[in-house]
Amino acid sequence: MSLKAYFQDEAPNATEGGAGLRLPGLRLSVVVWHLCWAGYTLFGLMGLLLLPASPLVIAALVAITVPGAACVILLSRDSQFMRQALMWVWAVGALLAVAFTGGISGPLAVWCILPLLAAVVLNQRTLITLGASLAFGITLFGIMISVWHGIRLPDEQEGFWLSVIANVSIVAGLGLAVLPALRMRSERASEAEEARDRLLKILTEQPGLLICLDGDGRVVAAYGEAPAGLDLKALLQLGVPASAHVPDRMGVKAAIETAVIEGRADIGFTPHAAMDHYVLLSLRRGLDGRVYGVMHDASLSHAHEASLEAARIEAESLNKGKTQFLASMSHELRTPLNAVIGFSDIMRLKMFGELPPKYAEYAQLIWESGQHVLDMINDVLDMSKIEAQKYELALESFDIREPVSAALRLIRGQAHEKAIDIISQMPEMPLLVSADKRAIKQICLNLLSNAVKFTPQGGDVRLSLSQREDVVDIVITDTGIGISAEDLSRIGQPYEQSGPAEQRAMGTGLGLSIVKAMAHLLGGSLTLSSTLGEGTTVTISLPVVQADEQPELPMPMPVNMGPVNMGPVNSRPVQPEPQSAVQSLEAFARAAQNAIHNPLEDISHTPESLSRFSDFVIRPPKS
Amino acid sequence: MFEGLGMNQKKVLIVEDNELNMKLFHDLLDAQGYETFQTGEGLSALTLARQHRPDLILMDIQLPEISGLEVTKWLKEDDELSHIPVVAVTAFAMKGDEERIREGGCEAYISKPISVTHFLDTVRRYLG
Repeated sequence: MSLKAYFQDEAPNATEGGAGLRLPGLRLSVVVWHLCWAGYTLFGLMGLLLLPASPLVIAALVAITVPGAACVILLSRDSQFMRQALMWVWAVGALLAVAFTGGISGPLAVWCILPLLAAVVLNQRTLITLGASLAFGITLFGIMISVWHGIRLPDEQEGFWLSVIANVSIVAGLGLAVLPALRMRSERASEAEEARDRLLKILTEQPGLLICLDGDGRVVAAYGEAPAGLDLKALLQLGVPASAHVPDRMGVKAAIETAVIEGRADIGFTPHAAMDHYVLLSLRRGLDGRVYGVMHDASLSHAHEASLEAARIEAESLNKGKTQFLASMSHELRTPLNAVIGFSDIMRLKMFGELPPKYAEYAQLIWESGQHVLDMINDVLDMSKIEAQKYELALESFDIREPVSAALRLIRGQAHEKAIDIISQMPEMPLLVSADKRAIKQICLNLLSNAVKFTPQGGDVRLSLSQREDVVDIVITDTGIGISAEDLSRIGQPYEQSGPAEQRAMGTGLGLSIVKAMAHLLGGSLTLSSTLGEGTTVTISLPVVQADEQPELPMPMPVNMGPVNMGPVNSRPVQPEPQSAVQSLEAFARAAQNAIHNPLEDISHTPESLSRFSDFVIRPPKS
Repeated sequence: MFEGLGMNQKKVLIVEDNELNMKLFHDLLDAQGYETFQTGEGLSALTLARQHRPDLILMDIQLPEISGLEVTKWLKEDDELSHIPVVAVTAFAMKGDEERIREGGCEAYISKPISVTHFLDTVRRYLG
């Protein structure tokens, strides 16, 4: 049994804050031992007083009683210094006792060893050297006393009793000192065993496979659950890359190299033994330079990700297909429409002479229907661009009265035919805005066209344009059929229309959706209010007014997006600082060491059951 | 009506692959007294342009074998033909088409379906 294993230098519950040596807790057995010593020597002293013994002999026994009693002071104030002081008290007491009884040839010579015995009782390795030195010193001193012959040896009777006291004290004292230490040792061994079992249980039962790789990338330890489908034989005999499907091996090798060089790497791979599975491997370089990793089965999440990715690609290609389809459909419809509109236009303009009135009317109807088809094609194309988020605003600075007037001009023809009055109210001065001219014109045109469409003969359509700080309000009011309350909520959704079926047949239902989408693109809003049978008011509010001398683009994006200087730093995965990581690892290592008493270095002293602590404990996956 | 007859008659080359649209453009221009040359293929457009030296070329952009933009590029690279104005007539209506066509060297752009009035105005602008 080595000294290291015998002595308790680090207590299980070491007191905090020990920058220097950590003290073992003061055991009651130490104090009891000392008190027994004091009692025993006091009892011997009484006996010798009855004898009666010489004053020197009495003094020798008094001197050796003191260290036993002095131990009591440790109860109130325990420290490394006090323990050393106690050793010195022992040395002085032993020295006096040996000297008073005639030195090394005296009956108490065996007490030269007392400082060493005290160190054993205190059960602290660091005191052993001091105790041995002191014992050696006392022995030399005792020899000198004997050589000097200055002190008379006790007489025969005294000598007999002193020898009895000394020898009994050493034998009993040594036995009583060593036994508790031995018992403590076995207690601690079983504590270590339990701690190790607990740790092993955690390592084995956790859901990943923890691995430790040596410099060559071979697995030197593995604990935990083997990921489903992983070839353990290949993993343990040939290394991690060999357990991966061939095309993935280079990637795994590279990841291990990255972990060695950069400290961390993460990779997923298909195990070569089961290609329908997927294993994720995270690698980190340990403080000892080795690479530690955890593997776990990610087949389900990988399959999920793969299906999501496939769905995304399919959706993208479908969307692309839709856009292409719309573009080519638009082209294919426009080509024949060109003939329809072109020839009917020639006829209604009577370019080649007069037509019978009926034919002229038909030509006009053909031309109008052609225009209507064209409007619908344009609407569908615009809506698909808005839905695909491909509608790009061309922001420029202009007088908003221009596009609004253009829309009014375009609608007047239609309105005139239905004897509808168009009344517009616009600011007298130019109203400069920063917006998309085409979008403004289309918003007005769609709203005016709707208003005219749903207003009966002889009604009114009013448009007013006004400024409210940086917002432009476009209000279009008609005296039309109105919209019922339940239709109001539905309206504005793409392809939705209100009213009876014969009314709906008049358009694609996209007009208002396009207006709404364009108003939103410009950062504005659309409000609808309507009374069935009385008319409808549509208000478009656009925050597009240009500040004097300071052009300002509308910002449809929400403003409260957090601090502006959110650099890419914040988007990185959260990572502890290396320094604190090392500190916490050290703290963890210390705590572990305290708890299990260095299980990795103390193998030679582990009981039989503990030496079976294997470097490979791998269990099959739990279903 | 046919005041342009004779040597002063303006000549227009129409490049258009759709027969109905060709007829429409031809009838419209013919009624205005312009002489027209017609082709539905981009390659023969160059030959016809060299042969007849038109005063204006109406160019459909989507042609069967070769894009009207490509034909325009060749026309504009030819020193003898580059002065002839090219007006693109196209059914493309996607954003950016107009810029692309103007960058391709076309002087003007008319979208299909045409408005007869706008079409004739544009043609007159280049034929004086």
